[in-house]
Amino acid sequence: MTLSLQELHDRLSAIEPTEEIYAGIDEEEIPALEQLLQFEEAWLASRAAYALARVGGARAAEALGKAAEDRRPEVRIAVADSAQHLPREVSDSLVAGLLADGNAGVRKFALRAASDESGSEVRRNIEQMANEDPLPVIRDEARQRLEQLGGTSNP
Amino acid sequence: MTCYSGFGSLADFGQRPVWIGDFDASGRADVLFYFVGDQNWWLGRPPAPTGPLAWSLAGNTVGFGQIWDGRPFWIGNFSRADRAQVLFYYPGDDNWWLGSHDGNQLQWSFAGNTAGFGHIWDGRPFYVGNFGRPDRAEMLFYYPGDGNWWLGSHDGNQLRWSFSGNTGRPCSQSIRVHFKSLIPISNAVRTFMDTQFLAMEDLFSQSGIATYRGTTEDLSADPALQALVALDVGACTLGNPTQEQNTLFQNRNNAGANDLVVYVVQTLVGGAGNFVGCATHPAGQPGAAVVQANARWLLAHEIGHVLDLRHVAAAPATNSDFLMWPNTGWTNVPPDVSSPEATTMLNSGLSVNC
Repeated sequence: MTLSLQELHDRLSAIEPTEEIYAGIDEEEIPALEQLLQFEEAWLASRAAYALARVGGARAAEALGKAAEDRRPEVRIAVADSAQHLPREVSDSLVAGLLADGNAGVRKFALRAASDESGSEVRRNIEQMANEDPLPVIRDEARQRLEQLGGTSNP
Repeated sequence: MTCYSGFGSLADFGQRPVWIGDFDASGRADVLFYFVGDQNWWLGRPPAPTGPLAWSLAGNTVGFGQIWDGRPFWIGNFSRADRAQVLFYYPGDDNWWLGSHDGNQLQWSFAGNTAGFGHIWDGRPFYVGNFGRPDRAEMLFYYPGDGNWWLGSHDGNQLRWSFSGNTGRPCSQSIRVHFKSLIPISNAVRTFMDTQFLAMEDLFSQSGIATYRGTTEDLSADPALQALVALDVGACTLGNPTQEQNTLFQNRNNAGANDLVVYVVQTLVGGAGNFVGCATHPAGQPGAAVVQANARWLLAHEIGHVLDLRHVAAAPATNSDFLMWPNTGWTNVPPDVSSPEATTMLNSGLSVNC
């Protein structure tokens, strides 16, 4: 049975969430999740992004693509952090863009979302971060990530 | 005036309560007593210049029923500057009655009702004195439940009660909470911290825990901490801080060993998505991290965790009335703290004696 917006809101309002809160949320809930993405409370909008990533599918991916451009860093961070749940072609597109985000938190979690399966664009962006990121701590983490991923994009 | 003698022992206060005051406005002290056996009141006046007290019947209150039943009586010049009067409160109906001697008998008049305060004869302290007016006595009481003081002044008709300040609730234990923000402290952030703290202070005080506000520090300009504004909290299980939490919680400027530090961050990222608050902290560095959320008791919930509280069960649904409900959707707010939970917090190694 489709959850109403209020039911979804209540379900996703856990203070310290566990995977259980996403149980039973599927494609039927995407319209409500899209509404939650617009909620004023950034933490709740972020929770909707996590839920969309777990639902998957083309429409969820489209909603996450929009969320990746949300004005609120919290929501963009949620997209970056949840990219691991998405197919590579979707996650690569999101992560590559978020690696160049102006917010350090977004870049940090986009960096962590890169995987062995990530494509060359993601690796190139990480390489760029390793050399140019304004924050030393992010540059260091990008270097470590590159090593974990097996070196640079242009060995 | 009819005089009497042979009352028996007036020292039997359980049967014959005695009060001293200038009840008849003669300028000298009189003796007033009430006899439980027949509900009569007697006034003993000192003759001038010497001689035995002259006793006169000062009325009968059988119409009130047996009034020497534990209810409180006070003596003072509540509505008239020239004479002492008898004021009593009846817990049964929360009515106040004032007895004023008219030269012949005590005349009783209704002096108001305080049902709006609840049943106030519950052990709270009452005081009589000329607090706000030199010409008449007033009633003052303190309510430990909310720390408020109320002053009752007779306006010639009834006692009128006015708020007279707040000195906080009594406490058994106390905690001190500091704030450190990784996001710039704007008016909105300051309001968030203030609101959260006040909600926690009010709630915990009902459990005998005083919450003191420590320092507030803006860490947003520290480049070494900028990446922690989006804090990785992992699974957020107590006793298992992430490396990022270990780094952040080292920042304890101005905080004593037992002080709790609350870090306000932009977002908390963990295993199952973003957290609204997380009480996981390194050993010896007690505190929690929260995000700016419109969840009034978020801070109290997280500090509750730090003080050893765990979530209440998901069932029954009425558990959402409790602070440790694991969701921001508390019901019947302010949320409840059960007696065992209060005991747990009072026994926490982080709370100290008041």
